[in-house]
Amino acid sequence: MATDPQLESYLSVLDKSLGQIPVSARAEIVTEIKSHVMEAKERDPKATTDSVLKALGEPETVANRYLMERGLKPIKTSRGGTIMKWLTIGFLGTFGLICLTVIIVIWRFTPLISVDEKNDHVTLLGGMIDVNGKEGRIRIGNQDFSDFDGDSRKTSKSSGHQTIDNARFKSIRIPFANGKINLQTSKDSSVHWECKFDGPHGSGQLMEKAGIMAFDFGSRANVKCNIQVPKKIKSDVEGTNGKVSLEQPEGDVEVKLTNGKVSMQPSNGVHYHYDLHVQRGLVADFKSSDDPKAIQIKMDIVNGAVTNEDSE
Amino acid sequence: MDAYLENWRTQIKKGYLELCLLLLIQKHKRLYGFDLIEKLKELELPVKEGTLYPMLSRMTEEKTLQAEWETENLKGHPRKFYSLTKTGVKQLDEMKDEFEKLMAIFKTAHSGRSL
Repeated sequence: MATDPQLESYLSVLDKSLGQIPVSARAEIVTEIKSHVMEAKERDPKATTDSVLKALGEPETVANRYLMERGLKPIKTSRGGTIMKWLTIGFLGTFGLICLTVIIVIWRFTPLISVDEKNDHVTLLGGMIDVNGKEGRIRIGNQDFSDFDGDSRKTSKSSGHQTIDNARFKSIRIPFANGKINLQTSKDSSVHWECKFDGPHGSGQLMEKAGIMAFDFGSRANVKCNIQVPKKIKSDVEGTNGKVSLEQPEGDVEVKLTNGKVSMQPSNGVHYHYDLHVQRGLVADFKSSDDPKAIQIKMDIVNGAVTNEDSE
Repeated sequence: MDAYLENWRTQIKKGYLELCLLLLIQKHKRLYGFDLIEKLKELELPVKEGTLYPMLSRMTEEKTLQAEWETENLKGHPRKFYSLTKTGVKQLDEMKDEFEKLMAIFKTAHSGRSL
């Protein structure tokens, strides 16, 4: 036999309203009412479920008669549509909360990115991330990560130079969590560096690890470095938050940065081939050369900007 | 209708309805809800389904009636047949005696005969 949704819904409300009566007795009552509706429709073909249920009365009212006959306390009845009323209130409430959340998020994180080249300042996600290039300071939320020159942190210093055997090593890695890296071209075949960073004393050295030359800054936090790299040696710079300056590079450079700014100052007379990707932010115009011997400048930035510091 | 009269009619009908309901069940040996509604209607004692079924349920709980589910001809829906229990038969006899006493009182009071 096909299920009658209207009848089932009525019986469901009736069953719930009979809550004080034991389950077995409730089942008997519900079955008898169902039997009555079917009998009425069978005897009168014109009768509908709706008309028979209307003659019976609201399920809560019928339930109350059962309760009162047994000396039990009747339930409070309300006109039909109670469930629909609460469903509507719940839906509208949830929808309103979602709208409010979206509005707050948009308001809080707008503008997505703001670049102040004059003051060397990049603001991301409505000020959530603030990169101050001049001061070498990065603030995420309320946490200030970088104060490179401050004495309150356990700041370590490292400086030195190391000759690179370009027959063995084609690149050096410069990994950091947050900070400011200035890359220049060395006048000889050595890497020269002068760094400050939060990390154990004695770290911050250029070391060979598994056939790769890389700087080891310990925690990699608050790194501020001036690094000179020999011509023809590629620099792989990889950071989370910060600023990277490329001053007239004469070797390939690849920069991967999550949040921050990269400034590029091309060298006169040197051909560069650019491959620049910024997911959210700004990229300045650069003249990319098709010369196969051109220096490769590759950048992948999630949030931030690439600026052209060409003095011409 | 006058509210007082309506209230009085509701009260007197409740006891009267219960008596007639038991009499009908006794007369037909067993009856199910829908049949009872029809037969009460024929007696010009109409009762709403929402009133009758709770009453039958209570009388079954009190062991005045006993109920039995049955499906006729192996098709259609099950029907709940009500019949009098032994207790119910005794109760009905007492109810009939009581009602006859009331009728006698009424007749005496109504005839104008001196008491």
